Amino acid sequence: MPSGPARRPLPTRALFAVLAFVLGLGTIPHRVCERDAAAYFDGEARQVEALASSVTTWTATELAAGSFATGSRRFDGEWLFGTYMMAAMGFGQVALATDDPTRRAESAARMERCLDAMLAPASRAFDRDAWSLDALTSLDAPAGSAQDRGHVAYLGYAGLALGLHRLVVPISRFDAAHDRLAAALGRRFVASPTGLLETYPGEVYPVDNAAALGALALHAKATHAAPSAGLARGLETLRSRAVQPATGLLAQAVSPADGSPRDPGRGSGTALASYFLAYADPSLSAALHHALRRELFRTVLGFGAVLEHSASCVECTGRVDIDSGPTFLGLGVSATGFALGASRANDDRDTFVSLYATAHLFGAPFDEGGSRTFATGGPLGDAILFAMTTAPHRALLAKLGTTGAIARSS
Amino acid sequence: MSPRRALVVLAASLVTLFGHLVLVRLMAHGHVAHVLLGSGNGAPPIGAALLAVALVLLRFAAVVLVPGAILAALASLLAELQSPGTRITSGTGTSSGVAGSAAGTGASIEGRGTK
Repeated sequence: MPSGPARRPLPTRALFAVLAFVLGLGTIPHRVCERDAAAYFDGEARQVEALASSVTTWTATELAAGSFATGSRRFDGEWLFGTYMMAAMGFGQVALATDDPTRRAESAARMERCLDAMLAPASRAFDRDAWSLDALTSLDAPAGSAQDRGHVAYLGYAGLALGLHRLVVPISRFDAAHDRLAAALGRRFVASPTGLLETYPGEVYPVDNAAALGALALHAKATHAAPSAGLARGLETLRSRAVQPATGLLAQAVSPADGSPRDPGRGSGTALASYFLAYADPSLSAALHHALRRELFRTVLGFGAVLEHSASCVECTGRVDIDSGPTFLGLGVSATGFALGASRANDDRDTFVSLYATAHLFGAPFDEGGSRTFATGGPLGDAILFAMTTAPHRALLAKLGTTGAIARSS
Repeated sequence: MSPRRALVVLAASLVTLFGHLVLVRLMAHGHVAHVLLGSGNGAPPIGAALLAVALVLLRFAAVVLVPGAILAALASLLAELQSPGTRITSGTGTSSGVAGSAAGTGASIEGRGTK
């Protein structure tokens, strides 16, 4: 028997410390990072307004044509346009969800600043350079002519934001452009040999078409008109050709000749399309979201993230591009961010909370003076997170589906 | 983890947390993400790039590792309080404690054998 006072042996104390470390690792970090998630999911005004304030600053004063330099003039333009479009969606969604007339009017005003910038020549340049024809000019091309096609990236995204604005402000100076844009999109979907429209000549991306279909649906709801025949055709094409039967994921690109998929489906496109399609076809939006959850969603220590490529696609491993953004162990920044919107639009609180924890961890939010900016996000990151964290819940979308524009006194 | 090491871990954790807060503020105020985006395919400004890398690493440490490290350090200190005979500088003594424990186990087995 040892003599002297009993001592706690070192291995026991070390084990105690290791257990405490593991306990802390597994229980504290994700709870710290997800503490604001419920407020965003529930649309608490103070939390949402802080991010709205930051996006207002970016879009009102600080953006210029040279703000982005990805190395590609096309992508620079896409990002500038995307910042204004996502910001407009965020403001529109806030306006649509609130019952406070003052907040609604302020959000509408902020949205209109973004719409003006989104419709300005500088934001249309990326599309114009690719087509050698301005997207808005193409709206006046004779129906069925060679110029009456495509431009779905610019027209689809812009149309979605314009449609959302029209739900908030039924009569405005944007109405004429919105009507022309929706008419052209509907006409082009009907006339397209594949049922989908080109983003750029010879390039067809289903996610961009999803935005255009959301735009057509919102136009019909806002104007109380019958949905365009192009809406039904586009949705049917997405379901039958672009959604992969094996996984339920959305192909990122399809052939412009016959509409056959060019890839087995990806996280970023599927998540963003699920968000867009919430406005046009909630059941298809839900199907994409569920496929995303089943095939690509992962959690580590309570942090949720979305793979850009399915694990079954061996040749896709490590492949990154402008759509995926940076990836880490296959988990994509874009896919994870867009999935926030898909999960909120599909009332999936658990997924939203775990995804938000990851966005909080790597986005590094900084709060000051009632404003929140994500330090690693920049203007586009803030705008996307704003749009995704304010994506409309099913109940609001159902209300839109039955009543069109929600009439409120303001 | 010795008590001294636990105190070092606690201090390092606090420094990490403080440094993280400072870096987030610097990065947000300097619009560093915007600067990095603006550099495109060219080399980004070295200051902005270093700040961004430092923030990501420090934030990961501060948010993911530090809570566990603090708990581990506190657990270690708590264990030390429950065994007041252990001194901070008792590296050798701790080793002999292990040996003593082993001897005790042997005696116990032997005791069972005599029953």
